[in-house]
Formats: sequence, C-alpha cells, structure tokens
Amino acid sequence: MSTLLEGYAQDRLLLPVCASCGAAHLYPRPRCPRCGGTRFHDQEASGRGEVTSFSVVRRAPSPDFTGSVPYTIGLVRLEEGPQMMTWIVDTPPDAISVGMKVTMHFADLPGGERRPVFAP
Amino acid sequence: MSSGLLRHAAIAGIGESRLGRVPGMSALALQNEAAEAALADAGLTFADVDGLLTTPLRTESWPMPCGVVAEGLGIHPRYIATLDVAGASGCSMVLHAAMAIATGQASTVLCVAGQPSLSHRGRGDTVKALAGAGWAHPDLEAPYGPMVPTLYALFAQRHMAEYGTTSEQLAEVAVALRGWAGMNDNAQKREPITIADVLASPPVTSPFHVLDCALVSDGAAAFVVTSAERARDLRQPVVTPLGGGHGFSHTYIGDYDAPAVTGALHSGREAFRQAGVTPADIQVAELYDCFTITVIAELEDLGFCKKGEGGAFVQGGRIGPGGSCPVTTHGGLLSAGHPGLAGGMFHVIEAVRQLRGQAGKRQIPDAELALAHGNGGIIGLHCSVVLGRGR
Ligand SMILES: [Zn+2]
Repeated sequence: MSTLLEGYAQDRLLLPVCASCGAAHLYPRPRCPRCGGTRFHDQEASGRGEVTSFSVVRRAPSPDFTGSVPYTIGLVRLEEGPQMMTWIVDTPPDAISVGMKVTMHFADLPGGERRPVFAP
Repeated sequence: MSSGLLRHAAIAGIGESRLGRVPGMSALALQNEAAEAALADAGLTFADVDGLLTTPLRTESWPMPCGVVAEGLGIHPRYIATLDVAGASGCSMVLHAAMAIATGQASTVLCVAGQPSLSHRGRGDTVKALAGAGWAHPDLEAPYGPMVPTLYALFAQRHMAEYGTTSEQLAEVAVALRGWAGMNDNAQKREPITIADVLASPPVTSPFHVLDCALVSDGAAAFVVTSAERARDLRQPVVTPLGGGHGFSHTYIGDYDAPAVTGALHSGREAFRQAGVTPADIQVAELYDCFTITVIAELEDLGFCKKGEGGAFVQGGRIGPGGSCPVTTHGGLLSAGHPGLAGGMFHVIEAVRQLRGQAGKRQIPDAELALAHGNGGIIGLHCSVVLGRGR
C-alpha cells in the first residue's frame, strides 16, 4: 500500500516529495516527473488549496452514488503544488467558482472509501 | 519515418457497418459488415489481406483482439496487431498501417474495429462501464464518483473560467455537427437541433447537457491501406497520408494542468510540418468530438484559431454546413455515432470520402487537403493525419 493510502487510513494527506528536487507530488509514480529522481519522502499537506475546476454531477455513475446526486466534483490545487480530484462540500454549487480558496477535511464517500474533501 | 515514406501508402477502401441501433449483431458481425464494405469499395477480397490492425473492445473482454478478429474473418495476416490509443486509434491506424506498408511487413492492411455498444447494454450501462474502465484513477479519482463526461466537464469548466467560453458556444458545436449528420444517411441522429435544444436537454454533469455528449452506438468501421502505387490500379481515387503525428500530455485529468495546451498542439504541428501545409490550407477538418468542448480545444491547439478563441470561432455556424471552416462533416460522435474505439475511424473515412468527391450533399467542393484528428483518454493523447488527393 502506498504511503498516500496509509495516510488516508489515518485522515492524513501525505504527499510524496522528491528527495532530489523537492517537488511535491500526489499521483504515485516511480520517477519524479520534474527531475527523474526516484527517492521520495512524505510531507503532510497543509490542507489549504484553491479550486481549479468543478462539475456538478446529476447522474449517478453507479448505484453507490444514487442517493448522493447532485454532488460537486472539484479539482483543487494544493498550496504545496499538486492538484487533486475531490468533492467540494458544505456550499451550494452556485457559490463555487474557479479560484475559490478551500480547506480540507476527511469524509466517508458513498462507496465506503475515506477521502479528503474540501469546503470554503 | 520521413513524410516521403508515409506518402507511399494510400487508403484504398472505406466501409461502414450500419450505425446506430443495430440489433442482433455481435462485434465480429458488425466488423465483418464494415470489412466487407471496405474491401468491396477497394475492389479487393479477404484473400488480398495480409495485414490486420484492430482495437480492444469495451463491451467484452477478448484475450487477444487482433487474433479474435483474424479468426472471425478467416484470415492469416503476416502483419497483425491490436492498437489502443483509445479515441486516437482510428487516426493512429493510418500511420501504423503506412509504416507496415513502407517496411514491407504487409502489402494490404485491413484496419477494422467496432462493437454493439448500444444493444449490448443500455446507454446507462455503457456510461457505468466506462466509469469503471479506469479513466478515473482507482485510488485518487474513482472513489469520488466521476463519470467519463465529468472528467471532460472538468476540462470544459476550466476552459470557460479561463477564456470566457460559454454554454451557448459549446452548443454551437452540437448544432453544427447535427447539421452535417442530417446529410448522412447512416447517421444515428439526423433531426436538426438548435442551441436552445442543447441548453434545454437534461443536465448530466455541469457544464454538459445530454446533447454535449457523444452518442452510444452499435457499429463498426473499416479501411484498407495499401501502397499508393497499387492503389492507382484499384477502383477508387487515390488518397494518401501526407503527414502525421502523435501528442501525449496525461492519462488522469486530475494530474493535468488544464487549460494548458493539449497534445493536439504537438500531433498537429508534426502532421502539418511533414505535409508541408498549414491549417489555413486544410479544406475540411474531421476533428474528434467526444464532447462539444473537445472540438473547441482541438480547433485552438491545431492552429485553426488562437488559444482561448475556440468558443468565439465556432459561433455563427462557422464549422457547420455552409460555414467557412467545415468540421466533422459526417456528424461525428455527437450525431453520426460512437461505437467504442471505432468511433474515430469514421473521421478518417469521412476525410477520404471528401477527398474522393463522394460525400454527396455534404461534399466540400474540390476538397484536396483534409485533416483527420483523433483524441484518446481524457483529452490526453492525440493523433493527427493530413490526407491528400493522390496524383
Ligand atoms: Zn524531482
């Protein structure tokens, strides 16, 4: 299991940071896309970021989500650099805009996974 | 490979199965229908085929798709491969087949793909199957419940925020392509629609309505690639690839710094360079259209307009019938049909038809240069091919 998923199990967002160039990442990879480095250490994310895009989903992709529509999927750029997919919660869809500042907390998603979500 | 070698190949035959709802047909039966049509179009038979390119299916799991198709069609090609660059596969097949011809791996390559996406399961099931097909990262994205349209919607919403692109401009794309489909007897949806119709269609995943999204279709497509020299002795006007290229930026949309340029910038630049032409020289552009935003981004990144101006560019019917920049003149995935990875092959077929002067009511007069463009994944992998009328 990746350290990212280990972190999720403890309500922590642990970013793999390249030991060579210091760039923070999210998607697990064997090589740093910036410098090619292969050694990483973990850094706990601040949980602050800004919305780079969003979509209000009105049709459930699977039965798990039937009771949850509509929900807002967002892309959030963390202040450490990486972008992540998430839910934007605790705010009406009309109030969400690209560039909006958001902060992270953990929540149980409809399929049972515990993941970071963001709210204004 | 130099563009000189690419020009030694020609697309000598094109064929489509029935498209739309075609009950009772297996993937192989649909592919056979398209392959028979393409070979007949070229004046060839299955006995002439010594090369085969196909794609995986999304409706069933074949252990080795190229083997299943070869066996199903009763051929034993000496060049045989399964190609999967998702929606870019149709354009990519042209380049791979041309390479096989140029290197003597085959003399006659049958490119064929297709599946019964609509009849195999309902549309809803197909959307669900796609949602689980791995386009969303299993740990980082899928738990949040995005549909494939959601992944594109995230690209579209960012484009709108960055450049002021509007829902009405997205709708213009759907309206234009429906206009073309009205002149294509094999198109699944032919009745005209308006911008208001698109905006009033049910919302799916903002900013997309149902009519911003590709169809789900039964169908198959095929084309035959051989040497230009041999094509001159066959039945049809010769159409040759003049330049081609691929471009890749990402697999997972969450890791993509939209609205940066897409791989279409690189695939197009390479295709135009090899062909020695510019976008202004292209008389008809068959652009991949899985969603309305896809066409707008491709028009920008391929150089038909400036970055960020694609929305304004498509306004006023510019890419539809009678417009100054005809795009996806068969009606595309939005209106003609979208049977899985075969969807992008129809753009190649339409380019060939236009260059031959066989496009009927939707013919672009004296078309000599066409662009076929495919896009795979979540707007992350592109393939462009400039095609020209042979001499
Ligand atoms: Zn690095």
